[in-house]
Amino acid sequence: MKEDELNKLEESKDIKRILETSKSLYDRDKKENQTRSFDSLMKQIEQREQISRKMAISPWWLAAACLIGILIGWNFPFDNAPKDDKLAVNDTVVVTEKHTDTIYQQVQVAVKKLERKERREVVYPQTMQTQKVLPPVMTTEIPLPDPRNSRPATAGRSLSQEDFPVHLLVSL
Amino acid sequence: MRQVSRSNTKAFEELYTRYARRMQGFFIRMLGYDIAKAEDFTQELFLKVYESRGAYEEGRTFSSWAFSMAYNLCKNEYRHRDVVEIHEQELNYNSDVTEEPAFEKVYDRAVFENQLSISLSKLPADQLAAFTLRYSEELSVQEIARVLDCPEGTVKSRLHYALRSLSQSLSMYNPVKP
Repeated sequence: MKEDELNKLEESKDIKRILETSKSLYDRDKKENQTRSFDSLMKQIEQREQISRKMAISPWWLAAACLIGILIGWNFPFDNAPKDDKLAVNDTVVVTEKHTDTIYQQVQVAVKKLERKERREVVYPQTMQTQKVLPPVMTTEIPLPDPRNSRPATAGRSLSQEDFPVHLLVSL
Repeated sequence: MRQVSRSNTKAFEELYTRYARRMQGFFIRMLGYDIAKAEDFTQELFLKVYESRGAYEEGRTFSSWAFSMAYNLCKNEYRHRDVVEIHEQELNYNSDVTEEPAFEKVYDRAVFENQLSISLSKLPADQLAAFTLRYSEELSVQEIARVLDCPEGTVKSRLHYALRSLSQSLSMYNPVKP
């Protein structure tokens, strides 16, 4: 069925034209575009063969390596060797103290000297003046009450004195 | 090919001279008219031919063996670089320009050829390969089936679909024969 349809299509005018044009285009592309030279192909082949030769391991080297391995394995005493001939005896190690040291590494740092452009005046200690600044409470003297006095609440002051606290007297 | 398998360089050169252009033409069409890439692929194909010269089956024609290797190279290229998608995008841009050609240009053979090459590039890779091998390389359906590694019926249906889609896309172009 498909074959019949294909044959019909191939015989139609439009398709024939398409096929002819396609063939001529194809042939023109082949003619116009040159292939690379055979020498360049052979160079590439040689390069590839060289790479594969470098990568390949010689069977003689492989056989020699196997032989050496067998000889070493044959002479090495494994479990069959007597216990006294062992290179090391297994022992239990008990860790009693754990100590960690801090390791400091000396690092060299490049020090740059700062250049100051400003000139500053030197202030000598003789020229400096200190000022005592005291709060006003400290400057005025307040007399404390005398316990030996006959009138301690009045702090030894009589009623005739002007600054006597009258309100305190009233409360008493 | 028997001589080539015995590492005869002269025989290989003869083979290269005979088939390199054919193979390059096939690559040019299969890779969307990318000439530089087609040259690279031709070189790569003959490298592979030389490397696998021992695996050549006697009794099989060299052209069908080489075309099957060439087709596999193209398939790998499609898989790895998505050439088809990029090319379709380029072609969509181009097709916009030639979608509504001027009246006098419709009859121009050059325009028809250009449109045909665009339509060919739009075909799926398997259909394009079958079309090129059948109508440009003039291989038999049996040989194409061997190259594409599919049954003969599949080759025929691919050819049928390719012809139908080409006739549809080129229905409005009617070239005047020179």
